Amino acid sequence: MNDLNSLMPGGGISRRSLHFFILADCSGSMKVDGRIQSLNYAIASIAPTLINWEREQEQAQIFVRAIAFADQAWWHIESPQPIDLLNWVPLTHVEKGLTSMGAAIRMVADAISPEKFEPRSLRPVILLITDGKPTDVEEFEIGLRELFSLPAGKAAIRLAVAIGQGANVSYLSRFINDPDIPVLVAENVDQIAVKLTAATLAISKMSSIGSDRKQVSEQIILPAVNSFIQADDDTIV
Amino acid sequence: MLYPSVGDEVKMKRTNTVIKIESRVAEGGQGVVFRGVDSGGHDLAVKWYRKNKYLERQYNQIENLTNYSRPHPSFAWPIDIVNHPTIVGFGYTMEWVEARFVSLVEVLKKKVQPNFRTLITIGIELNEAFSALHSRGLCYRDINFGNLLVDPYRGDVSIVDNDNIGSESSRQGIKGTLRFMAPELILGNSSPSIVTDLYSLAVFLFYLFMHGHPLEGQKVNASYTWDKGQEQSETVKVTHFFGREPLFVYDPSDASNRPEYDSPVLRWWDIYPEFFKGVFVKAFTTGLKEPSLMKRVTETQWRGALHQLNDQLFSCGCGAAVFKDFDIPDKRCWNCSMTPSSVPILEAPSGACVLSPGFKLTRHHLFKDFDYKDSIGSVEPHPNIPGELIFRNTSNISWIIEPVGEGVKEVKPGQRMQVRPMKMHFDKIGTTISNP
Ligand SMILES: Nc1ncnc2c1ncn2[C@@H]1O[C@H](COP(=O)(O)OP(=O)(O)OP(=O)(O)O)[C@@H](O)[C@H]1O
Ligand SMILES: [Mg+2]
Ligand SMILES: [Zn+2]
Repeated sequence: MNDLNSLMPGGGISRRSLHFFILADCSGSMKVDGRIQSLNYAIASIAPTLINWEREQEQAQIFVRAIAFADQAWWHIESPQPIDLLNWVPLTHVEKGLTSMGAAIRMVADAISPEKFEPRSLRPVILLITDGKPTDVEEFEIGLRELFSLPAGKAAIRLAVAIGQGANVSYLSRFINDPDIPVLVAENVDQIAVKLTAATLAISKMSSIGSDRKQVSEQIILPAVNSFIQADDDTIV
Repeated sequence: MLYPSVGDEVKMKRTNTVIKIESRVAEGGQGVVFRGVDSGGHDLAVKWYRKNKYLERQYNQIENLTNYSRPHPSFAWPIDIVNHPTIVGFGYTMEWVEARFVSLVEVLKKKVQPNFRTLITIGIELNEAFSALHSRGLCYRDINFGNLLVDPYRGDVSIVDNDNIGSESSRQGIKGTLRFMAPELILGNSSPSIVTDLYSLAVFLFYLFMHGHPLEGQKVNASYTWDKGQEQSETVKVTHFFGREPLFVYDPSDASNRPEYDSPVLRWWDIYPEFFKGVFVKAFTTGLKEPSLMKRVTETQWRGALHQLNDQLFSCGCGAAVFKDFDIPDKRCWNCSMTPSSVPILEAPSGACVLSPGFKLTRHHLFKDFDYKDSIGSVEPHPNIPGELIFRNTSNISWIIEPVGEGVKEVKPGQRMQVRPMKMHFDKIGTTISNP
C-alpha cells in the first residue's frame, strides 16, 4: 500500500489508575535464611508479570508504592511509580527490628482516605508480606478499623504472603477479611517468588471490573496454597 | 509434576504425536503456555492447565472444541488434548502464533498508530472471524482484549485462548469480561449466544476505531469515587452502568454521558463519516437495550460498513489521512482544519468511492455480490507526476474508457491509466470518474 505515510492521529486510550501498595516486613527475623534477599528478588521477578498484564488489558495503569516496617513503618516508595518504570531499591532488615505491621496498615489507610486517594482510580491492591506477627497489636487493631471504615479500604484487593512457619496466619486472615481468599504461605525462601507470582496473577484477574473474586481464588490462589497449612491450626488429626 | 519442563515430551491424545517442550512462554489465569515442536520441526503452542477444581469441565470443553475444525484462519484453535504420564492434569496444543502478532490493546495505546487501511483490515478480519464462528453455531462467551492479537503492519488477526468457545446452548460457569459483556448477560437475563457476541464485537470495533469504551463517559466517570457515603459497591455500579441503564457516549437523544474532556474518543469520533458513526449509534442504542439479531449490528452490516469506510479514505493536502463524508461536503480535516481540495470519485454501483492510493476495486463494487477478494483494479500514485494517480487493471478483461474531451480508449489487463474525469465500462457495467 502506498498511503503508509499519511499522517494519523496519535494513539492512546483512557485508563484508570490501579494503585498497588506493597507492605514489606523488614524485622530482624527477615535476616534468617536470606529471607529479605528472597523478598527483594521476588518483587523484582513479579514486575514483568505485572508489566505484561498491564500491556494486555485496556482498563488499568499500574502505580506502585511500598511501605516497609520494623520498629516503625516508613515509606520505601512514597510517590506512585508507574510499574514499567519501577526501580526497586532492595530492602534490608533492621537488626533486632520489631514487626510494626499495625503502623504499616495505618499508613496505607491514610494514603487511601478520601482526601488523599485518586478519585477515579480502580480499587487499590494491598499486598502484605511478613514472616511474623504484629508486635504493635493495638495499632494493628486500630489500623484494621481505619482500613475497613474507608470505602477504598473495604473495596481493596487484600492479599498476604506469609514467609516460613513463624508467620501468624490468623492476623493475616483478619487483614484479608474474606473467607474465600486464603493466606499464601511460602514454606521456605524458594517459595517466596512462587507465591508472589500467584498473588500477582490473582491481583490482575481480580482487578478487572466485576470479576468473581471467589472463582479467581479457586483457580489461582487455592492451587498455590499448601493444603496442609490452614489458618492458625497446626493440630494433626 | 504440575507442569511440563523444557525437554519433556507430551503426547497428543488422538494421534499419539509427540511434542517436545522447547520453552515456557507465559503464565496466565488458567495455566502456563509453552512453545513446543513436533517431530517435523513445526512449532506448536501447548497450554497446560493449572490443577484446580474446574479441571474436568475444562477438559470436556477442550475435547469438544477439538471435534470442530478451525472456523477461520484467525483462530489459534485447539488441535488436540495432550498428556504426560507423570504430569498432573492435561494440556492442549494449538497453532503457534508468531511474534509479529501483538495484543491489539497494546497497539492502540502506542503513540504511533497503524494507518487507517490497516485498522480497517483488522476490523474486517475480526468481523470475518466472528462471522465464521457464528455460522457454525458457536459463540465466544469469554472474550477479552488480551486474547486478540494483531500484526500492526499487515492487519492480520490472531485470536488465542479459545477455551471458552462453545455452542449456544451449552451453559457454563465462566462469566465473560464484564466490559465486553452484553447488558442482558450482566443482568443474568440470558446466557451467552450469538446475539450477545454481536454486542462484544461492537465494543471491540468501537475500541479499534474510537480508542475507548462506548459506555464510559462523564456519567459513569462521576460514579467512580472513593468519597465516604457516596460509594456504591462495584457490583452495583457495574450492574447499573453496563447492565440496567447503559448509555452510549454518543446517544443522539441523551448527551449526559458524553466522553470525558480528556478522552481520546472525542477526537477519533469526529474523524469518521456520518454513515459509519451511524452504525455504532445503532449498535449502542437499539442494539444496547433490545437483544436480537434484528436490533444489533450483524457481521453482514459491519462487513458492508467497513468496506465502505475503506472506500472513502484519502489524504488531505496537509498529509493527514481523512475520510470523504458524502453527508457533509465541506467537512474539515482533523489536522489542518481546512476543507480538503476535491478528490476523484468513482461512482460504482455499490456506492461512491474515493480514488486514492491503496484503493482496490473488487467485484462487489460492480456487482454487489459481497465478493471483496477478487481484485479488478488498484490505485497507485503516478510514477512520474507528483499528485496524480494511476489506476491499474488487475482483472482479465479490458476496460473501455471515455475520458472527457478525448476519444474512446481501451485499458488492457495489466495496463495502467491515469485517473481523470471519464466514463468507464467494465464489461456491461458503466461508471464514471468525476472530480467535483
Ligand atoms: N497459540 C499461541 N502461540 C503463542 N503464544 C501464545 C499462544 N497462546 C497463548 N500464548 C501466549 O500465552 C499467554 C497466555 O495465554 P492464555 O491467554 O491462553 O492463558 P490464560 O491462562 O487463559 O490466561 P488469561 O486467563 O490471563 O487469559 C498469551 O497472552 C500469549 O502471550
Ligand atoms: Mg487468556
Ligand atoms: Zn489537512
